[in-house]
Amino acid sequence: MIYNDFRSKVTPSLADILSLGGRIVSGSWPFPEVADAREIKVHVMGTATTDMLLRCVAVACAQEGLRPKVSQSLYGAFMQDVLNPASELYSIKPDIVLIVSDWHSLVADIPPSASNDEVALIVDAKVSEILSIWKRLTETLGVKIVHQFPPPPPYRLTGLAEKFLPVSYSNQLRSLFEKLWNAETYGVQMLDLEQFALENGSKSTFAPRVWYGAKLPIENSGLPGYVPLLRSALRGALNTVKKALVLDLDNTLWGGVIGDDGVDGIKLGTSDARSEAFSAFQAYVKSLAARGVILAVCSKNDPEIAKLGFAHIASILKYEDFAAFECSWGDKASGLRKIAKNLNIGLDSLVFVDDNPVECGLVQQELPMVATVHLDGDPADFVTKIEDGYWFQFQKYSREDFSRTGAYSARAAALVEQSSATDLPTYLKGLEMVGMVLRPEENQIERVVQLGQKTNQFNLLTRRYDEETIRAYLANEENIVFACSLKDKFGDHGLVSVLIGEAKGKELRIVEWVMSCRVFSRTFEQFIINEVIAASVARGITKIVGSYQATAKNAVVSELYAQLGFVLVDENLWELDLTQSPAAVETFVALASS
Amino acid sequence: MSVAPDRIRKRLARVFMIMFPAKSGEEIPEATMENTDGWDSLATLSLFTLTDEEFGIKLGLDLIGETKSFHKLEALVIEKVG
Repeated sequence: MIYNDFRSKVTPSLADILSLGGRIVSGSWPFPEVADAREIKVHVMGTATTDMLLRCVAVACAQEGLRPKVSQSLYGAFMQDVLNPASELYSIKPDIVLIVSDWHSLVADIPPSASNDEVALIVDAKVSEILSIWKRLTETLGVKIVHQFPPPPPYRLTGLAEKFLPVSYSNQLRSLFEKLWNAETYGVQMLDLEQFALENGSKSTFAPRVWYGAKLPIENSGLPGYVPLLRSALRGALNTVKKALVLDLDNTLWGGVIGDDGVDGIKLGTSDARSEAFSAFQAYVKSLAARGVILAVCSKNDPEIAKLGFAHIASILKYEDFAAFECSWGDKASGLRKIAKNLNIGLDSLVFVDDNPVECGLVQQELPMVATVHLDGDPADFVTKIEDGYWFQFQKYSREDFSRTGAYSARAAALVEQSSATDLPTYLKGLEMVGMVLRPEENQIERVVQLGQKTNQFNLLTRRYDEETIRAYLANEENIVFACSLKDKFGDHGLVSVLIGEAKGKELRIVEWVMSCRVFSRTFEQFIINEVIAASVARGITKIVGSYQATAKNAVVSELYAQLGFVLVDENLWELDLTQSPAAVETFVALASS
Repeated sequence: MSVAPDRIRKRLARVFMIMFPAKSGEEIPEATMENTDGWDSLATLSLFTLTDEEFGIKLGLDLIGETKSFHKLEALVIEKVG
């Protein structure tokens, strides 16, 4: 695909995201004509499956003229990566981190009878946790942060009453968002997907089936509309925001051609639907100007005649509203260059809108850094066409920009200082984890088999044992077969790890060890091995042997046995000598009282 | 309205190439998860979305686990529009 054509798309296609995005994610660069594009490292992490968002990040960066190198944290390992200075995140040293939060991770189930103050306390704790993450990432990595917040769940329960119920998920999320917005945000770009859901259709874009099926935060069909939103956040993070809206005149700011129809002949005002739509568009443009967007005109016209349009009795915009007024018969690329020069801003901070596809095409080819929006068809849709690009979305809050009182900020800063989650051990302790290892019951066999079949990352040998094999191991009482469950303060994760050790005389050979990725790096693996050691000693076993078989996806456990105190005795073969009474490895998981 | 099987195959092969551009036209009909680099369950989900768009159908997510080859995907589409 030709780069300029791709870059000029306001909304990329799903095929662009899956195909081009996929190629960029895998490390190739499909645009040889811009081999020297500025490189940028973006890391994506959160409480959802981020693979598809990674492709969106790749496309968004490429459309912004950047050559991205993208990476992601393992599903569910987000907090561990943030808090552990030895995690991959810290070796990658990304320029930008995209944090993706789903609503399940942000709200609490609070009894509906709870008071406003009780709800506020719970929300404040979550605010504090998020601020501490932002603080840590900013201070230790110097990274720019984009944090994506979800829409509330797509059901209304008691309807209107829910809007006024403090404990409702919607109110918790709204309160959280507001408190974070008012806090010192370390320059974080906050993405509000509640508004996105309204605009793109909550039922289709955030259908529960994709969450239950794959923990995807957005349905694939919603990704094209998400890319421009993401681009706006990237611009905010990189300080490359759009500053000026450059408008054509005829059939853009009014209906008709001022040179032919005269000031009384152009369509503006309330006499018909078309005139009303052009007036509404002018009102929208005027509102943008009131929010600090610079307005300019770039039109093929005689300047004196062109100015007459703003003398129309119904014209909301006035000639004085424009900081630059470039009317000539020259090409529009030259006009835009002059405007940028006069305003002393970069061409990449211009958004150019025109009803003429040829003019738009020329600008896209000549000046790909200018965002170009083709306003064709019904003028009633012009506002939406500009809004689709999120060109003037400023998600960044800074005290300089707004004169709000400092009370909230001070309180939020104090909360950060109080926050408990400032290092990994404190965080893990705070999870209040309780583990249980038991020989599986009959009704757990299916889950034991399923874990081995499905788990790719924390799977040391990837042997994919079937039910028959598992039952054969269970048949020998000397073998250790552990079905391991974990609970924490947020809930019960259920059976999330399986370890099978085959006893051969005085030796225990670990033949399967798998763990659901949503719980590893929480010292649950240390907890399990301590239990294995205790059970082995009770059986008179003197040596535990473990091996690791590398696959494309299990590199995360390549050093597991070393971390657990085993000694490498052969290639990928590790041993733990129990005759030396090895000390228990440190874990923050407590044994469940039976 | 039904679509001829050879037309379905051509359109589905186009969809398939978006996800797996390294596959040649000849290889696509025989493609499976086993012989196609990068074909995992998320890729199947993406194939479903693109197929839904191409044919104006809705393939249920419950079918993701069993869709492990081009043939199977083709059979699902034929069932809906063939």
